Amino acid sequence: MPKCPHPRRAPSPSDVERRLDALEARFQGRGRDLEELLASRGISRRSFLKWTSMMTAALWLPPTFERSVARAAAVATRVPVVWLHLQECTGCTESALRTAYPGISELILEYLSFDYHETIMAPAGEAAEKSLEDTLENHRGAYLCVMEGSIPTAMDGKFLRLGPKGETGLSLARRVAAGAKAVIAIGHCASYGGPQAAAPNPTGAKPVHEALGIQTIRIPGCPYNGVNLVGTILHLLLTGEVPALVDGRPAWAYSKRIHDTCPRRAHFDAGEFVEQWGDEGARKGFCLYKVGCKGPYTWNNCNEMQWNEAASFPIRAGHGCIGCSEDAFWDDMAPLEKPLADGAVAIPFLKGVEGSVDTVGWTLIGATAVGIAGHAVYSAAMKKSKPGQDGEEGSHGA
Amino acid sequence: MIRRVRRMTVMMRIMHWVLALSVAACFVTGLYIAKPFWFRPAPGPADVLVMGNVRFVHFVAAMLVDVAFLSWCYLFFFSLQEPFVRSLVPFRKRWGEAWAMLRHYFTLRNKPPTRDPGIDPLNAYGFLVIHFLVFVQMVTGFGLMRPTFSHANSLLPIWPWILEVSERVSVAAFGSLVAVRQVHHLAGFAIVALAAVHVYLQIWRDIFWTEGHISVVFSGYKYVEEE
Repeated sequence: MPKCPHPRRAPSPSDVERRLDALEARFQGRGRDLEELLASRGISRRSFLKWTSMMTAALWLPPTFERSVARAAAVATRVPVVWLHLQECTGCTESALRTAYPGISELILEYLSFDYHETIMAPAGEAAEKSLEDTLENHRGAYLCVMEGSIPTAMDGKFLRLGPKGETGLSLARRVAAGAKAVIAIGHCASYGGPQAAAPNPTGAKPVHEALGIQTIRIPGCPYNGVNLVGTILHLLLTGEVPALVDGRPAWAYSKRIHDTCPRRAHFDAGEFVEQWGDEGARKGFCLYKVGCKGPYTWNNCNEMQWNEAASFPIRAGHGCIGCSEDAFWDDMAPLEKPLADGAVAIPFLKGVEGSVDTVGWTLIGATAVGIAGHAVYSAAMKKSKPGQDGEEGSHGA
Repeated sequence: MIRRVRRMTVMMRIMHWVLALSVAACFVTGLYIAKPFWFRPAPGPADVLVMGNVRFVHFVAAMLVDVAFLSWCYLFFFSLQEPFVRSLVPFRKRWGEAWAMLRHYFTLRNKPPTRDPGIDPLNAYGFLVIHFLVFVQMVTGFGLMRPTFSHANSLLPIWPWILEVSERVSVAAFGSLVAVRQVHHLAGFAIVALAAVHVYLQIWRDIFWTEGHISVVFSGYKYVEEE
């Protein structure tokens, strides 16, 4: 479980500048120019600098790094990225691409220099394959690999075949990961397996790090928050290192519990809860714990970063957290709109039978009460039918 | 002739009542924390931290349970008066005695002799199970507490370490924090069920043995009739 990591030494500013010089020289002319993109969307330089301040703070860097963050953002649209779609719904890609009013994070994501991205790349078939092979060869050790989706491992991965040669997802992912500077697993599926890894997991779906046996930077969420991916890419560009991780997730984004930073937390402590959707408590913005909020078991930065350029996020909009950045949340946290006390648990010794912990608990208490009553009646009957045998035969004392 | 037999030392009686009251408090407050069961329609800004106070009671009661548990563990081996461990060794003999007591509960015959000092082995096994469950509650409880812990504490520096180890151990044992939470919930019910059996058996003994058994937990003595 996440804990506060020991703070790393801040990167040296001169090292960062040297690294950015090298990256700028190497990837000159590739991809799109960020300044042009910003201008084309009518985003002012001032807005951009405000955004860099936000990102610098989010990455736990001192304000002196704002300039470097701005440079890294400009490099970010030039560094080659291979984005693989594995066993997934493309919701993570959609959430980044379909923003009505893309903010700067979304804009950078949209214009990352995708050498291979199955949803949005222009080439198809053999041409797309060639683009992938060229990147793997020409930018070996320098390209970033983003993986979206879990990897089915049952039947040698035959549940997922991709491209004109019908390569399995397992084989493609292994090949791409081998030469990548870093492998970023985005979304719950790539990070923890997603719904397809939920019991009984017929396809043997595994998160990327388990399927390939490599270290990934996990950016879970369903979908993930674009800010967390851009921040991680910026961190990689600035320092050349994987950011400090907790449970494989960047500490700067995933080391705080939703419950502890929740805007409704005061209502939790006061014992004020939404009892059902649309009631008085819901109108007053009370705590969503009783309608299934899983914030107490979830680590993410939704409260601080929010979504869609800080427009809102689920708890603020009136629905509890579903715990989508936690391992096995499909199995653990269901039903999503009921508190855990009403969640189903497998009943011990009764294979396949499920009940809530409360049902199991009260059944246990009830069975005990029935047993006690039964024994009491039995004892009384025994004593009555055999008077004089209520223990008088035994020897007393020592 | 009626002989007075000492059954519980002062220390044992204190620990018994601390455990009984704290466990009861933990159970009720735990049910509230899991699923807040009374609705307080707040007319205005909240001025009472209902959940906050309930959680505080839960934590304080849990700490008392833990202290009683640790004392019990120590006295289990090192009590000068009557270490419980003597009720369990030699294993084969005591196991036979426990089995005889179980048979007695269902036949009402052949009442095993009163051990002096020491509790009867069947009781000792029951207490072992209860204290094992208390241990589970302690570890899972600390594990669940860790995420809420701010690292600001007036206790020894070992305290954050205990919480963290508890979290790691319980998450490793049960899979996830959610599973730990469910185990914590279920073990609470199991403790209360065992406590109910325990209370019933003491009443049953009082009625069927006519040795003033209930008196043991208050005065420390019971009374055995001898020829």
